[in-house]
Amino acid sequence: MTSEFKRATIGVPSGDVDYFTAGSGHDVVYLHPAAGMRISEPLRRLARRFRVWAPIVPGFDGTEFHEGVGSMQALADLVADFIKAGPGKACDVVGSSLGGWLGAWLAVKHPGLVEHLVLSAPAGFRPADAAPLSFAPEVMRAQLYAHPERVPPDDKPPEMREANGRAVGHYGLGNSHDGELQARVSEITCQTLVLHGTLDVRVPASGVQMLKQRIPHSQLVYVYDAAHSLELDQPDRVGALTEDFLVRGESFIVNQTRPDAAQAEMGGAQ
Amino acid sequence: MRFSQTHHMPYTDIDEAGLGWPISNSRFEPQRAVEMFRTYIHAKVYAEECGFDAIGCNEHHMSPFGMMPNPSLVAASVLERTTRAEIQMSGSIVPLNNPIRVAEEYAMLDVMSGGRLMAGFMRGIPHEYVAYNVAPDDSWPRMREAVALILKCWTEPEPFGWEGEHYQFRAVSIWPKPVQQPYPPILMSGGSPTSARFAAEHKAVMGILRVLNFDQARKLIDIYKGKAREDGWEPGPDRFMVGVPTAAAETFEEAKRELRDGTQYFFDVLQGGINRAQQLVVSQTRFNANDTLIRAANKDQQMKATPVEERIENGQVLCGTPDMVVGQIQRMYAALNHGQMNVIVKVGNMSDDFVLRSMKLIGEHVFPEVKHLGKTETVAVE
Repeated sequence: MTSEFKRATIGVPSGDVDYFTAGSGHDVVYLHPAAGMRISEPLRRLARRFRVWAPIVPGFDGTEFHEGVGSMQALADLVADFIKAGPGKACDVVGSSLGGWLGAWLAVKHPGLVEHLVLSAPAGFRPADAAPLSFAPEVMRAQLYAHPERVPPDDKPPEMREANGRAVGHYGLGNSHDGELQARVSEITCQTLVLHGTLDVRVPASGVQMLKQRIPHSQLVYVYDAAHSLELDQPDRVGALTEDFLVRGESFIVNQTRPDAAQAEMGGAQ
Repeated sequence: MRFSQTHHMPYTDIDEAGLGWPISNSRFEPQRAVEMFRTYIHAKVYAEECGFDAIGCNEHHMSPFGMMPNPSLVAASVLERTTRAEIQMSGSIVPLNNPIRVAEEYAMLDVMSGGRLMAGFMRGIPHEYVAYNVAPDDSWPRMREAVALILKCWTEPEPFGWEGEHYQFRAVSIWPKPVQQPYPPILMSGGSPTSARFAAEHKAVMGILRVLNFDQARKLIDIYKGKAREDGWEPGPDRFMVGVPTAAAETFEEAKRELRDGTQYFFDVLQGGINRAQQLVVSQTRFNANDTLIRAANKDQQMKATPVEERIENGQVLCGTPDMVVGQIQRMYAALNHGQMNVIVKVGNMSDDFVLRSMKLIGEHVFPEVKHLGKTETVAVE
């Protein structure tokens, strides 16, 4: 398998799921944000080291909704089915924004399927009393990107972008507050890395601080000079953090500037 | 009006320091330094007795200009011998240091002093970057990121990591945290338009630590106010600190002589090699791009030759009998509407006996006449 992503389809009990896949090695499932699937630099980086599976949430990017799947909890069950049908065993999960919300539900409901979890600017953790999120294009753009000049052109046609917006409504994600999930995140047992941009106003810092406080084995890392779309604002930092965490887990807090030399000294032991 | 005292703790037992960088320490006499440190620390502690509101500690490297490469050490000594005065760190040169260390040390000082810390975040002057081998071009990016990280260290409720351009830490949770919540008042330099805006962004006290003239100082204050209003708040006089070399004596002649001779020594000896390093930095990097410090440095040499009377007129110094100093402060306040003054009590090789007498006169005869000025505090705009 090369690091070039290919689109494919796999069947799960509720219907067919389109997905992108690339790479080889340990399985990593990537869950995309509300803007839909985009092969970002951090994702390409993951594919150079892992086998990446990136399902398209039904209803996004021109795909059909699945009957009976209309909530984040139901989507988490669908992703669990996808993992069973695709990788076929527990894997690492990386979720960005909406994907982080989904990844958190997956880890709560199906702990046996998630080895390491990365929640990048996870949606769903706004306080109940937070002001409503704006979806006006100019506000969105200002809040999503600290460095809009780094954002590659969006090749999705306008009607697909509009459909993605409707899909957000379909799953009831508009206010980005999920009280039930917030009450249950302490059930997440796997090693978890939470990433947050220092300029992110769509997910307030209090949301990720709450995750750090409640998830027993978690790390919170602020990515400096990044807004909500971390992967596009700071692709190198997000890519390096994610890869290092998935490779080394909890020990990623230890500076290892010469990992090869260290490994050789330890006789190749991890 | 609040008054802080600054004493740079210079090494004054040399007649010339040469014009190159670095300044040779071959003539440094350790035993003399022992005496100087005792004298200088005493002068700092004495400031509280004289009625100063704050005692300054600042960081400079590799020069007889100031023997305080780690201001926290001096602050720790001073705070143990004082009970009331604010410990004004003016301050750590943030881009040269590990920001976590700055956050930790400042938190320690705040706890050790029972909440008397003013946390100064300085970018420093060019020669410091040569001393610590940090690229001067990186000074502003490092400054911005380090300040953001330090504030995170003080305010995060849970352990966190930091992935930035200049600083990476995977797991941070400092002990102790500051006493003052959410964090101590911040002091930043406002010597340039860029730094004035940066200080306003952080609602920091802005120190104009070298006044060229009232117009220059007023422009910097206006830049700060403009940025504050953009951000929806109105700064009061308490946000502005003006720094001035000062000499008070029973007669104008004595004050003038001490200030003139001390200034001469400052420029001829203490500032010698520093100027060379500064020229190298500003000619080869963007350290001062778009800012006024280059012009300020050029003015230094002019300042040396400027008569004391003219320097008083420009607001560059306070000098004279206590009554004269009162008048100079009132005039300065009328021009700048500031609420804090940083009094540099030892200029060059000014005698230590004179420094103490000057401080005493200021405390007894100047403060009662001017402390009521600039009492309006900063308020948020609705």
